[in-house]
Amino acid sequence: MSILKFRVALAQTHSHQADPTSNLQIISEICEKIDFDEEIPTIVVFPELSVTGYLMHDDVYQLAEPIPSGPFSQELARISQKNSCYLIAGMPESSIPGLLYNTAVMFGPEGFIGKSRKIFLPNHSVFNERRYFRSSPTINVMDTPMGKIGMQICYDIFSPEITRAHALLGAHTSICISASPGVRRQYFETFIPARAMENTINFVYVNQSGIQDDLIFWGGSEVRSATGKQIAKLEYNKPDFEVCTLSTDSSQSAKNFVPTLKDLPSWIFKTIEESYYDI
Amino acid sequence: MTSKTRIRSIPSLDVTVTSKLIQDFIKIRVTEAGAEGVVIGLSGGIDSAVVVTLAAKILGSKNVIPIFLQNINSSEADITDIKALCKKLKLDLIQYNIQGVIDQFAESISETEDSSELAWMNIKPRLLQTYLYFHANKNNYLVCGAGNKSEIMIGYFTKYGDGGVDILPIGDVYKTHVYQLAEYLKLPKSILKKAPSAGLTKGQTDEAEIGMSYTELDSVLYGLEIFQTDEQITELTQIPPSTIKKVRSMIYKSEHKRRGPILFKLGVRTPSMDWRIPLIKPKHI
Repeated sequence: MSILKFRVALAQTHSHQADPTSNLQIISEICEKIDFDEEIPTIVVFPELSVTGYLMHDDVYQLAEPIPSGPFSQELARISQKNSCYLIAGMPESSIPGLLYNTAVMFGPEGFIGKSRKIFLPNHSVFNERRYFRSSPTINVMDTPMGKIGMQICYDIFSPEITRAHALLGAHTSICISASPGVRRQYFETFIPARAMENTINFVYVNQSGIQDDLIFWGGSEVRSATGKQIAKLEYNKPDFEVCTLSTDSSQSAKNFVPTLKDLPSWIFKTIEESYYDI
Repeated sequence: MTSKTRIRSIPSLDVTVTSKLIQDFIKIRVTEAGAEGVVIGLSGGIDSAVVVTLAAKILGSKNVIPIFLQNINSSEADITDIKALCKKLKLDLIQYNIQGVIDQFAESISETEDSSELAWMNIKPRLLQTYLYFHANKNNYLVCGAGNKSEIMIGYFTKYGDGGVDILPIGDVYKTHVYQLAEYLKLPKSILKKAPSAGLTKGQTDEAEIGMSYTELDSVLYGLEIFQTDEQITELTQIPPSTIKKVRSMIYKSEHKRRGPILFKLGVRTPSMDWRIPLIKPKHI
């Protein structure tokens, strides 16, 4: 029997900087709150780099690990299994020595489901991500018991192509984990419904909250349905938690109403690609 | 760590090149700031002796003001060494006895000086900053600090005291390397052989207070700097994990001292974070 509904738990945490022990404890405690339901599984979504904190600075070299064989990954797998839930969290990934990614991981009761690496690494304003991380050369979606789900990370949302690719790869839901400081709030709150509506896809956004060094993360996590309807909205600037329910087929009915993907001509991509090299 | 244990020292410094780079740095910073010279607080120790020597070499003795603040904890050996060094470098030493100021301060807050207490220990370095900046402002000079990389990395300095300066020419030079520079500059043996001391209390030595020798400290710091793991540092230096853990802890606890005052981001561009401009005003502005 295919799963038609699933729950999303928005875990808007305040991660401790370079302290995975404390952060994994927070993740564990939140997952323990989830009531197991055989028919409606739950995905608990934590923010970008929620395992290590966003501002690790050079400590990232010690904290990054291979996924899913590293110890933090194994702990996430244990938490998922123990609480019979799916969980998505952010952590630094070490691929080969010296090659790091800013990665979103997904675990379930059955173990490791998949991972997606951040593509757009901000190195402007207060951000310094390209000092540490490599940009992902691919876009993927994960095959889960709830169907296909895409994951993206924070600044990826500024590029409409990522969510579009998720939709074209068959995802009914795109989940964006984030560590966004307050000055970017207006952008995100515009992009979140836009990405949902232009691609007729459920859109989940979970942000860090609280202060890390000199940055204040604004929280404000939210969920939009494939028609752009706001399903959940969390508090600004402080940790918060909410569970909502999404349909795996809402994307289908939205596509019937606004068939943006059906109407998408392929020549547009060719034009974009050609003009990319001309600038 | 017993004295018999052999600790692998950090790689040697190219003293010829480094002393030239430090002199160039001092000269460029003074020139670009539109200043006439530098004011330097002397302690009688090796760090300020190296810095004042390099500053005098590049700026000329007329453009360097050495200042010594004497108080109840000052040692005769330090005073003798400072006078001899200034004479050798042809510098006009300014010397103040600040014990009266400290006593007056104590009286004004109805307290008695207790030089074993941190709040009191920090008084002298913060007074020093006041004296140095007074002379710097009077003469259009910069205040030149003498903090070295070893002290800075573990926070072994007074915030807005000896850490409150305009330039730190040896701020990226380990104490081990400061000794190598001192030998290269042929500083007096009495300064070279003296146990390093912040001079804040009678008989105080840095190594006793830090809890390890500078050789140990620098070996650990250097290992951490080049991303060695704790296990690698122990294997290469024979320094026990507990010492490495202690150094790591000191680094983290003192990070706030190495940064400017902490503010948080509210605007599009934020001072000291991402509102970045050249250090010196461009000509077209």
